Amino acid sequence: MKQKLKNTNILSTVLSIVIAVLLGCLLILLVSDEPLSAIKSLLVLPLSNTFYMNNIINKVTPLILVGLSASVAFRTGLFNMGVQGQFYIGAFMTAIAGNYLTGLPKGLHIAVVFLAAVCGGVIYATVAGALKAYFNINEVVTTLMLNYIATLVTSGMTNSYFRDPDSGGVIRMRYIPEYLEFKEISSLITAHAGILIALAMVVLVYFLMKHSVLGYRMETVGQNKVFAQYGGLNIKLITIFCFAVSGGLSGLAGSVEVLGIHRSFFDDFASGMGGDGLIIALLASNHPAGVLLISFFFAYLKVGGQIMQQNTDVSRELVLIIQVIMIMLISSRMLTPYLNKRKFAKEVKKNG
Amino acid sequence: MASFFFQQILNLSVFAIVFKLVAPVILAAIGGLFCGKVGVMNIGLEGAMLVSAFFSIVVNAMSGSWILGILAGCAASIFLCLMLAFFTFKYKAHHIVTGFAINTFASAMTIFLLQTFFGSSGSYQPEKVAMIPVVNIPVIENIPVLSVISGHSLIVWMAFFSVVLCSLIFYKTPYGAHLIAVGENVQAARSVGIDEMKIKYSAFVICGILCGIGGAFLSTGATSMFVRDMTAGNGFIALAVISLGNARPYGVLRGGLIFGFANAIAILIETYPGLSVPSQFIQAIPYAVTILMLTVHMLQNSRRMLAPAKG
Repeated sequence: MKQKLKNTNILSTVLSIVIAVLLGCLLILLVSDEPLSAIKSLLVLPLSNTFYMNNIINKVTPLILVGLSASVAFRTGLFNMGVQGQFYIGAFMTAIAGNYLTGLPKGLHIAVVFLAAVCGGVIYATVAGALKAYFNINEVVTTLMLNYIATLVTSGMTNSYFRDPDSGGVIRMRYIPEYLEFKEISSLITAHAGILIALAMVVLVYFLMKHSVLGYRMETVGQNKVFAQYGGLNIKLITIFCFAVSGGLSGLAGSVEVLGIHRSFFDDFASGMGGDGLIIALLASNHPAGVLLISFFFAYLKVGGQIMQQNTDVSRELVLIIQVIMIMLISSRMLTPYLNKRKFAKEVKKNG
Repeated sequence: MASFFFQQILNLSVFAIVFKLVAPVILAAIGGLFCGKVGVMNIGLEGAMLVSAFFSIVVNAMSGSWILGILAGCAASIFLCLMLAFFTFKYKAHHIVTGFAINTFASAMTIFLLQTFFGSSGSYQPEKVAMIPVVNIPVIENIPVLSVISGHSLIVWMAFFSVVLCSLIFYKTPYGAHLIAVGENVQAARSVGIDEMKIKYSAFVICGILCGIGGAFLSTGATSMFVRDMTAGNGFIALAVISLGNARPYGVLRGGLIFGFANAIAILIETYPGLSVPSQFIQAIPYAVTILMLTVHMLQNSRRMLAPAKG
């Protein structure tokens, strides 16, 4: 029975995606003077050559990590809307540790850079977690506020104290030393090695959520708080732990993005990242494998949107609109009853 | 430095800043209060205000009338709120998820339209905007201290008025009683024949109107332009203000004013001559203040609950 339910869920997700993309195309038809070339840029061109494909892999790396981050929190029944802020803190710490701890041996330096980013994310998220656990302050409001604070404070720091004197009109820090940067995976797959970290994290989070006592406890808290408390679980500690894991993953995403792509911290360089993470987690029903698949789909849409903006008169915000339609269709389970009915009718027909 | 602040407060320019900052927050918070009464934490306030800010300035520039602008903004905002209500009530989606989706949608749609119709991805600044008028009260504006209450935008007055109206609706009208009944005990409300859905949707329409007015103020009252994502967390702060006010109308007013004063002081620090703190840090103060106020508030609440009852 559970298996069947799952299949319907996957089917309804796929169907929602198809409907959303079709509606997006309809919108293109409405606003564009060259709709066919816009649709082609959005949907066909990203898969047309290896350059774009590698671009997709580069884009998918942070998406997987932020998606996992959001899904860990959702599974525990918490809304970590602060993925964006934790992402910036992680990225900022990476650039600081990369630039200003240069005396260390190279191997140690790499480890310290990651540690700094993850710790930054963990600590920043734990603030919201602790406020939730001990003062029962709604985590939605605090994490949203913390996003603005992180964006502004990292921006102010970069602007006033850590700005590279040679950066010209761009507000950014100095570029990190070369040995810290991620290498290309191979001559064919020119995407940076961050994707390997992201994939490792998918496996790790899968084991945490599905095959560990801690994951089981987190899920219990997420599904029934009263029951969890009755069973003797320390909800406060689990809340904080969940935020710490979630924040650590977001921080890592920021770090990977700096080490792999930007090589420095730019002022407000990835403003939609947190939102993407939340949407991916929701569409994937918080399953790590689902996060992986949906992230790839999102990266494909993003690259398509970029090509579309370059080639035609349609702006890439269209991709966001498509994402919102998807999320509405899926979170409301609009299609599920319809699909269930059809399935039921089919079974009745088969079994008589 | 102290004398500088004292001078500013004496000049009463602080009040002008406070009211300007607080008006949209209070309007959104009162709107959110209506949704809160029927059991939904509406994080879509932000998006509702944003679409209103966009459509009000566009219609305003086309028609040359601020009233039409506000109406258009309200219409867009009501549409968004109803969408949220529809998905939450009809299809049982989680309200935080739909609210978040609504916000993303509002942000993306305004930028998309901005780019499609005005060819800019950052801001829209029409040549002529019919600004929402400022209310100058004839005699009072010349009296030294009382002149504080003169010279504010119409919307500031509407914000304060909305608090009073909201309190009257909640506690003095049958509709308010129904609203509270639906929020606190749906079964009981149903059993006496209250049309639950009608009440719930109407709460969202009211929320839409209030967010619409607040959003219109942002683009055609406080400024005369639309900037992408110009609501900058006002809707989220409104949510914080609701919990600061213990979900009561006058509490919201109090919470909003505390927030406004904290902010005004931040702005005064920013404009203090010879200060070399990065401006972004000062812009971050409102958000930090919000978290701080929530913490203090919750601490007070838990103390109150723990304290032994008197008498």
